Amino acid sequence: MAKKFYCSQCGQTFEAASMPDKCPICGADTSHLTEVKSKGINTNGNIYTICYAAVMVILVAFLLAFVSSALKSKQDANVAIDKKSQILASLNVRGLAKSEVEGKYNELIQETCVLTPDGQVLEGEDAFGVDTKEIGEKFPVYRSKTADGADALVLPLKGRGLWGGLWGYVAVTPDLQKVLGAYFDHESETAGLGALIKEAKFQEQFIGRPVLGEDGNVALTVVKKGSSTAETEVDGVTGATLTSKGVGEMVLTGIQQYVNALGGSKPSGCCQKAEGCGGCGGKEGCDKPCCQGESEQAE
Amino acid sequence: MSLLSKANREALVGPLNLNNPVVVQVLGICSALAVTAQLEPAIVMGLSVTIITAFSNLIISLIRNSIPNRIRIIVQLVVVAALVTIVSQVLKAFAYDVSVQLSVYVGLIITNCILMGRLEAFAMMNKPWPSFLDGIGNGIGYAIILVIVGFVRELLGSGSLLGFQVIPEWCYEHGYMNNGMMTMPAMSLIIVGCVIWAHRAYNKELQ
Amino acid sequence: MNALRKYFDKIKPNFEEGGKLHAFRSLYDGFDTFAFVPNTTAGRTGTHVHDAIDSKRIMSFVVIALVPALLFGMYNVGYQNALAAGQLEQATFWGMFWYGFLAVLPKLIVSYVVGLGIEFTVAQWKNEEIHEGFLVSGIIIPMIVPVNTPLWILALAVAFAVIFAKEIFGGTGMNIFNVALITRAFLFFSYPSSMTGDDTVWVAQNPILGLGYAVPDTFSAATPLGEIAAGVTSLSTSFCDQVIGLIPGSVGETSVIAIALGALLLLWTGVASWKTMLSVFVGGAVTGWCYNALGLSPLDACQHLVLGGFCFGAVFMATDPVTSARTEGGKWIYGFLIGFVAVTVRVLNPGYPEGMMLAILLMNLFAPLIDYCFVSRNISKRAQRAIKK
Repeated sequence: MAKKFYCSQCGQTFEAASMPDKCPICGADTSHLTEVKSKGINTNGNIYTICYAAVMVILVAFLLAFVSSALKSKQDANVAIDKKSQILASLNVRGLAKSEVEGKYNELIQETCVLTPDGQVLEGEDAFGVDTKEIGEKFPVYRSKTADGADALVLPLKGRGLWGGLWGYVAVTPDLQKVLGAYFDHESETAGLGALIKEAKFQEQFIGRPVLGEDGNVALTVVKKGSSTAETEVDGVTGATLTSKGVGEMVLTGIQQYVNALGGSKPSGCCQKAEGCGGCGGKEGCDKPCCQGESEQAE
Repeated sequence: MSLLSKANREALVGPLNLNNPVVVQVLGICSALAVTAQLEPAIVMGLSVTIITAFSNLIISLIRNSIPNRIRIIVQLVVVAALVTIVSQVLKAFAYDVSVQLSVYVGLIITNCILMGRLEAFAMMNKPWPSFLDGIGNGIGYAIILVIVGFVRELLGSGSLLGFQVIPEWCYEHGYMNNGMMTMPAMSLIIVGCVIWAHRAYNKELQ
Repeated sequence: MNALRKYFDKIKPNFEEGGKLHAFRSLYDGFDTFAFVPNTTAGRTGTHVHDAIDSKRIMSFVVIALVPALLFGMYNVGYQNALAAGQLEQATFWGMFWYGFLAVLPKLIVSYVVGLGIEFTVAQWKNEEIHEGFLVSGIIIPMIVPVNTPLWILALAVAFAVIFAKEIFGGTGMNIFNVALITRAFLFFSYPSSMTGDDTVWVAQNPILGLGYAVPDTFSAATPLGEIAAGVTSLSTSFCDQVIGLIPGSVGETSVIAIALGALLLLWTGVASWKTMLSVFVGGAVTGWCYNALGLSPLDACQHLVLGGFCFGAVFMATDPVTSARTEGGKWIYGFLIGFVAVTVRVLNPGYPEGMMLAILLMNLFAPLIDYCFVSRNISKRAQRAIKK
């Protein structure tokens, strides 16, 4: 705390941390300087210190709480828009301006549901609200249309790369036979190598690939560039062997889990095609969960 | 004292060159390394630090006479932390992409040595207006260095500036490659070193 | 030799103060002292025995010791190229050798021209005589990079290493880090796809001046350590091949036998320390054995010593007198830790299959500390002895 000193030679008051050798204004020596004690409370007293700390803490807490709650809706909106643009990217809609994302998302995503590993629909769960961490216990599925109007199911995936986590969204045809689009992202892969999985160039390789192998299980995966022996094997990123391997693993096991949850290659549950929800037009007696009137669509 | 008297001008302009926080006072190096992989986060970080330093200087200067001596540092920290939290919330609400890139580093402004350094060395002993100017000066001095480092790193490390591809495609086709190490903090330390080198060679009085 | 001496003396005045080529004085100085031992002694008074072995001569010995590895490396480049193109039966010894020579020569030239160019410039600017430290680094650098490294990034890396790892610290003898390894580290971190990622970097692909063969586009070959890192459990090359050196790898580092020849020369002339070399191998062997016993690595200790840059690093780079530990006891610790760290990095970190470079650079950092510990211990021991007396 700065102290005030009064110099009797020049008559000025100045501030300094402690008694200086001479007056900084006129150069008079210390015999002319006296400290001016601030009138009022002794700011170094115990009671004062405690009260001061308490008041400050309360004030700051109120201020931060106010700011946080005032901005919360905007922040949540931003996070949601980010997630939506990722899902849209897997449907091959990229490069949208922030304001258009919401509209396009609502236009393309028809309905969603959350499944358990053995295919039961989890009531009351919103697919969009399922965090990436929870994938593996809960399986959110988005029934939607791609940019060109084809029907698709978007499957969120979770995996592990070289340095950190990976996640992605793969859009497949409703019968789970073909990939329509993909989006991958990472927490902390190497810039210029593993980070390239985020580029459209890598993701667009997945379009049109078959998902299932000859034995009916998921065979879609990522292999080293140049060594792919089947349509289901996508080229990895050159120089990012382990990140590519991570993506391959994620896609292979992740989609298999969805296939199992959806009951083999014919999906069941509320995301069935043909008699699909939204298509029954509110038919009487339709008892599928998504026809119960309550919208399960994400905000 | 007039608005921009000599002393005030010195407080504002000094940190831009001869008293630059990063290259002369050697403060705030950590964030100078971390966020400068691209130019845009570097600019945003520079602006954030400028605003926060200026206002925290101002606030501390206003209350400097009432702060109990024993909890002086804690009070400074609380003020800075509150300001940083507010800025971080604002960024998340209004500039989400940038805040994702800056992520932890905005929170780290609290520990940025420049802030604590200026609060202790200047704001505690000077009036509000000069303190505010000092904060702005140091913030801009810091921002200048960040922009220089970010410019070099993004240009050589990604071939782009502010996200726009600057190095033309034909360079890449002829075998040019982006320098991966430029995106690593190690290289940015070397670049800051080069900036200090050039700065001191030019300003002989600092040697 | 007399004619050369006379020529040097004749042109000397041009480089003195006021002479028209004064700007190139350091260049003249460098060549003069390289060709002939300078006739100076340490002090002006007293009796001094003039030893013909000075820094430049020692460097020359190291260069000579590197020659077998370099020559074999060139042959290996041609061999791998022929092997990849499936033309091994038709290829001749000299055909393969000259192909390798032509592939490696540009790198040697770039390394020396850029490195020495910078050194000469700095020496001229600081008005000092040229130091010869780059002689060895300049020949090592092309030997520790893959053969397909583009020349421009090699030049960039050499410039970076000479300026930032050598000149700013004060030049020859003052550097903390091994200059050749800083070059490689710069390349590795800056252009990883040219250095390890691609797996097409290790084998030369195209004919040069009519020699060599064109390798098909889909070809890719990993070094044995690269194969292990990708999860292969049995290597595609035999142990015999690995010792002789007929495996993909950086130009000079593959052949244990050629490196051993160089090591013999260095040990016999006393230029390199046997303690450092031995302890690196011991460290690597012990660590490799431990990891194998723990099941973390499919390679046994012998294989770890023979693969990758381990031998080359142990013989030529760990023993670099400027950057290694100086105390005799310190050399044991220094070398052992290099071997330990190298094998540990290889086994435990899937991102870095070749750990020797990082191990040596890390220990370069600790060498002064190791020396300090030994020296302090000696000082306190002597103090104790003095007190006891």
